Amino acid sequence: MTGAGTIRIHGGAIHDPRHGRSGQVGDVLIKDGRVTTSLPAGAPAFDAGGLVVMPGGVDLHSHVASPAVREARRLCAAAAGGPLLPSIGDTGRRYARMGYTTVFDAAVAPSGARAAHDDLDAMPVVDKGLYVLAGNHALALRAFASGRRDELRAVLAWLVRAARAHAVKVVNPGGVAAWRDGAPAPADPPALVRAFAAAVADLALPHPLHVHLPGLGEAGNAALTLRCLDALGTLPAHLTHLQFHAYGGRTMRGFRSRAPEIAAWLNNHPNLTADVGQVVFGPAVTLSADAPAQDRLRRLTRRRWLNLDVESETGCGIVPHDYDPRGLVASVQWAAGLELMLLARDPWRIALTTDHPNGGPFSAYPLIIRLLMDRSFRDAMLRRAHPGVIARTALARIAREYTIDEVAIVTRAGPARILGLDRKGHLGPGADGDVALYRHDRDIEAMFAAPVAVFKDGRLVARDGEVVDETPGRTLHAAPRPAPEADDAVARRRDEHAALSSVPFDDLMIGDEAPARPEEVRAW
Amino acid sequence: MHASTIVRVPFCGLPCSPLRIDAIGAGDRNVAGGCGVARAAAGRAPDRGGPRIGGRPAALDAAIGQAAAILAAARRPHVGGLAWSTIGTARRAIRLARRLGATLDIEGGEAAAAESEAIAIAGLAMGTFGAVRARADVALLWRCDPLAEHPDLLSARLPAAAGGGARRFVRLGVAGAAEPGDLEALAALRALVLGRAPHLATADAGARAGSLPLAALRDAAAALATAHHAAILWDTQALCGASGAAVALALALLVRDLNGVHRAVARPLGGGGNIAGALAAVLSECGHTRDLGPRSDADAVLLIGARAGRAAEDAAAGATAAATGDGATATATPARVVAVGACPPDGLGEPDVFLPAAVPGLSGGGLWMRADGIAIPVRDVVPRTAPLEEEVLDTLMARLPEAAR
Repeated sequence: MTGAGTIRIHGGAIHDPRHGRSGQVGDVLIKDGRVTTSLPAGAPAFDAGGLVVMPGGVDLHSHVASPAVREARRLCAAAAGGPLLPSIGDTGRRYARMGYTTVFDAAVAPSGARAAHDDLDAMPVVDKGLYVLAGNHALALRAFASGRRDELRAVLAWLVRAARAHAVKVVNPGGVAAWRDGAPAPADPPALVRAFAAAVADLALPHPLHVHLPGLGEAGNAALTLRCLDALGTLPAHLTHLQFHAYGGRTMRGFRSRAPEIAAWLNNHPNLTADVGQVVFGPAVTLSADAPAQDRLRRLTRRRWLNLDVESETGCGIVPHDYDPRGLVASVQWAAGLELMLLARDPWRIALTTDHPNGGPFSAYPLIIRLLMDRSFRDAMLRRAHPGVIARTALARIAREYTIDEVAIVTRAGPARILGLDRKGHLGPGADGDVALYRHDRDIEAMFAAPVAVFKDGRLVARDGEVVDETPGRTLHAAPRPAPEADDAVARRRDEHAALSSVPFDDLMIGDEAPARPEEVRAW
Repeated sequence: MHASTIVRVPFCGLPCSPLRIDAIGAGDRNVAGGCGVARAAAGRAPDRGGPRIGGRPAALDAAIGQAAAILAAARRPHVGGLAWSTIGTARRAIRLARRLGATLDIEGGEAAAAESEAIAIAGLAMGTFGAVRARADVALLWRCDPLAEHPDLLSARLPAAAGGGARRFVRLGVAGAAEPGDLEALAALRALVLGRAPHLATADAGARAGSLPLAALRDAAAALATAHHAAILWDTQALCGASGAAVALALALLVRDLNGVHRAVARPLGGGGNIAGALAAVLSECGHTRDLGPRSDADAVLLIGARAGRAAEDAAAGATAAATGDGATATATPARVVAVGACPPDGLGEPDVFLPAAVPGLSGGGLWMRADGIAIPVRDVVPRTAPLEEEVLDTLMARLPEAAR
């Protein structure tokens, strides 16, 4: 392993939920970048006495490297280079400084994958990967329309391989293509969600279908969300930024949270996982492949808008935004995210995200952790929000406070498990030597904002909030189960592809040209 | 030796038709197919001549060392070129500039800067080339005619999936250069699209709106009004001159207005080369483009793959002015120039140090970006006799004194 280190992290309070360790004092031994059970007596050591020791954080849904981020930096020039749209170097450094060592870009068009990998290769410190957008790809939609699950499966496998992606992402499947083409919206969105989830399940990828549901941000979208979840039945799926899909009311005036019902559904369906997409009060940059949702948002807020129709693959909309605590809608969104996190009984199945930079910057994670762990702080923030939020959400009545172990689950152990990353999110033998050391502090936000030390592959990469080693990490990508007949089926579609795309078929297949430091993740 | 090679290289920034490159011996080639920009780029002499210091042949190691010394000693260094370099080269150049404390510019990037400025003010709805080809039933070609050399860019009929109907082309203005009055013409077009009477200031208001006949603008507005999905195309020539940023903004506002009633997208065509890739590298590495721009008072200039020596000439002129402007004892000293590329930039004269490098897309590979932001791999198609630009910059970086690094 390139740049791997050997270190004994000695005497810390270890929080490793996967192995049932909850603050017991002990050592974490790392040899050549991997956690091991023994080290020679003379191995280098780091004194972790009095510190909290956790696996490195894993962000399973962020927007950091896609062409959409590039365009967002042009549209939101004033925010560019700051916490919402940091440079690629700063992105890696900011994550590392916070104790995060793995991040995934959640939305990359097939034709944007080369550029995204080029960006990810330039991101220092952290391991990374991307999800390929498939839910509005013309070939995928034609396969769905044909009713042949094997055809859809073949197209999705091709897209994962071509883009060297870790997972398949759908964004408002069929809905973006319809808007882009000026066609009526899909008649049965839940059927599309189900079909894609089934096809991905067949591929045996490490991560199930990553679903951005239809109805993003709309009042009353919880009804459609629940229909989609019902359609999934027992199929595995990951529901992303679920907060943005958990609203009641028929108009924005009647906007309210239905997060408790969504959380209840999640609790009762172990085939489902989710991340929250927590809103943070303050400025944000909304960027999404859900171009029709972004078109709605820009009309509603009268903000400037950047849209990019991408071939016959997907859309992309970018709108600057501000979550003002004095506003009812923003306040309900803020509370709904916390409701989801606090009402989800199984922390292993819900991950902390802000859908960076949509809900706010990823650098706000320490603030959100404080909101989850400290009810009095949460209540104080609630009092700063729009007064209508009390009646329209259940947040004021929720007493739960996360334990430090639950924080370890929703920020690292759980996301790693959801992503099918067997070497991430834990400190057992064979795990990657990614470790974050925090100093106990009554100010929880300060504690999680600046770890005392962060190790990546056993190397010290950050100390007291400063990055000291920028060795780039690896790019994790999935390998679909081989299916030569599926490859043939896609190859036969070359002519069809040529009519749909200006990118030569062979140029879409990245092959060995990228990423620079690949690591294949298999689930079969 | 590659005797005959068919390649797709987006030298022009568009999804260009294939080039046929035939080796005819002694490093010479016949180039056919593609477009004029692509043929000219593929026909350039690659990798000729070795390293030089002050015009004299030198060992590569000595030339690199001299280049590093010049750049490290500079008080106002500047890095330019990059419009014909890979994205990987641009990333390295940006990091090198950061280490040197140098300013940075992209050769020919003025139009891209104007578009970025317009986007930051008004936003922009855009489509990739494939998206435009698949859906635009009305294409407004503003002072450009990409179809003359790229007939496949937009077919006369829409694809079957989009109904197969005829695509209507509306050409406004002579392709090739902006004209005074373009801003007024665009303002009039916007007014007509919105169903308002245009404000015309000139005496012949009935006949012309700025640079264009009012009748042509009326026809264009009428065509756009019937569109289900309109596309507005322009190239960098349309944004030349002092009004470039304002014209870019007017075009962005036109697209915004059109999106008030139906779908419309813009497709800037860029100006050839890999300006889009260089800009993407700047946005990625810096997070923004605020510090991008020419420098007139540089005392050392590193030009990478530059075609024209304008950056160095400007800098030299600036340095001369700076040296003499305060009336002190300063001696007029032109900026020292380090050039990396297949050959020194045209019109520059002999640089202080010349470091030969392969030509991306011809004798060197890497990643290129079309004007619509889609990255395409380019590969070496003729034998390489010089290092890649990226390798030269890596070596240069390694040779910088510790303080500069």
